[in-house]
Amino acid sequence: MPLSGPALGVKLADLRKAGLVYLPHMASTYIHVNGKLAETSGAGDALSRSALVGPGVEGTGFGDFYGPWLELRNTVQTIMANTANNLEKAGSTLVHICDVYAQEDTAAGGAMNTAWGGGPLDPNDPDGSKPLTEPLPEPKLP
Amino acid sequence: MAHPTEGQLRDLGQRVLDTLVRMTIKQSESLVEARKRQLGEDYPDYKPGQPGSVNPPMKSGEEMWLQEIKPWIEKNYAWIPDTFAKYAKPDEAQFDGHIAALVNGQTFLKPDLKTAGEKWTKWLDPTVVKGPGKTVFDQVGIVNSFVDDWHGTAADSFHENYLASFGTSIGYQHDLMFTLAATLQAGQEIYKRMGVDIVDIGEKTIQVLETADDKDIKGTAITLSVLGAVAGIAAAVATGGASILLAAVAATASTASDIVGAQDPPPPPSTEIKGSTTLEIIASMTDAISKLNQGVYDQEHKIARALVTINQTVGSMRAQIEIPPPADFNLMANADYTNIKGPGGVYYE
Repeated sequence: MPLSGPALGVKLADLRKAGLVYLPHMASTYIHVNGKLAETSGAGDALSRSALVGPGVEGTGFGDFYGPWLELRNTVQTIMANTANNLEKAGSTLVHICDVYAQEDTAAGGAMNTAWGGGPLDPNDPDGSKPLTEPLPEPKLP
Repeated sequence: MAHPTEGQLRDLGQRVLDTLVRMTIKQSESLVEARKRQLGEDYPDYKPGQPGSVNPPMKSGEEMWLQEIKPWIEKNYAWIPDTFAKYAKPDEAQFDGHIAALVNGQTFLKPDLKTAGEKWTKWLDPTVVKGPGKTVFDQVGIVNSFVDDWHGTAADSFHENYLASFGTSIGYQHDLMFTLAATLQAGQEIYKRMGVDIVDIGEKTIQVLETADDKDIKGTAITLSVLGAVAGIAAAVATGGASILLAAVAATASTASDIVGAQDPPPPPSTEIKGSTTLEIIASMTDAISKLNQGVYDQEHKIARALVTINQTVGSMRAQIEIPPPADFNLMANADYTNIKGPGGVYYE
């Protein structure tokens, strides 16, 4: 049976939490991974070598694999950036959906606002209605 | 052993040159050969026994050595120190930071489930690298637990068409990060062995040159270690980047071994530093260096070939690798980005 009223409100609080906290948390993790890929932008310096090795041309150049390696690295970096952006959009969409539900169902909206009155709910609370007394854990990024 | 520096390699090349100069005078055959070549270059009109020959000025043996043969050797073999110095780069130590960054990124994507038998790469050892916090793979489970009670058309679309595909995408992303790190480490191994081999060639050339005062010069074999540098890449990519490699296998109708070059012909046999004169010994050293160059190039090409195939595969599978915008459930929720505010109250495009 579809939920409505305060019961829906509490579930909306969960949905909002997913959209406002956890999907952005995933996005921030991808941003971190993207940053790690960015740290390899200087790999070309490490890989440059005498062009004497190989075809026997004077000067410096890169090993045969640098071009395709760089292409893959750039592709993966774009994938990570787009994924982060898309997860953020997904989170915002969930929050938007929560707001629409809450507007349509006043009781549910009231329950959700009550649930969020003290901030995000404590995920360890068995009833799922107790606000967190401490801030949500930050993403554990170095 | 650290990669030899440019200064160390130049010194090694200079020692080869100095030994060549010192030993050429000690063996009559070597001296005769050097004199012949020097006369041919310095006195092109000197044609013994032929009319019109312009004879070189008369000199004592010592004068001839000091004024003509020795300078000719030093000039014509001055390339030796420069050649050795060129192998100072790439220095494998410069790869460490890049590999560590990729490994760090990888550990945030998915828990590593590799077994103890699959440790071709050092980071597979769980005692070396552990991802801090929860991976995005773990975070999907958390998101799932919070949207579990959401029902309806948009919810079904979110679950079935969106969230359900995250695991596969994250798996591919994880394996791509691994592939980037593994191929970079394979390259590192090539250049590490290149440094070992060039030093081996130089030292053994000196060793053989030192025997040139004997009638019977003793040659020495050299096994180029670079020829086996990326033998482990097949195992590495197969264990750590399995999903991408399998996808590439399916896409190209080939085998994993083909893609990573494991089916290539065996490397050529070891080379030898040898010769009946000092100049012949140097010629065999040049030949060994050419084989080293070819070996480095061949090993690089194996990695390149694997990466080209993987790039093609990634291009064709992009939609499965990248987590997309939430278009489907977004539409069903009657929302689009133009009326949704992102973080900070800013509208999406």
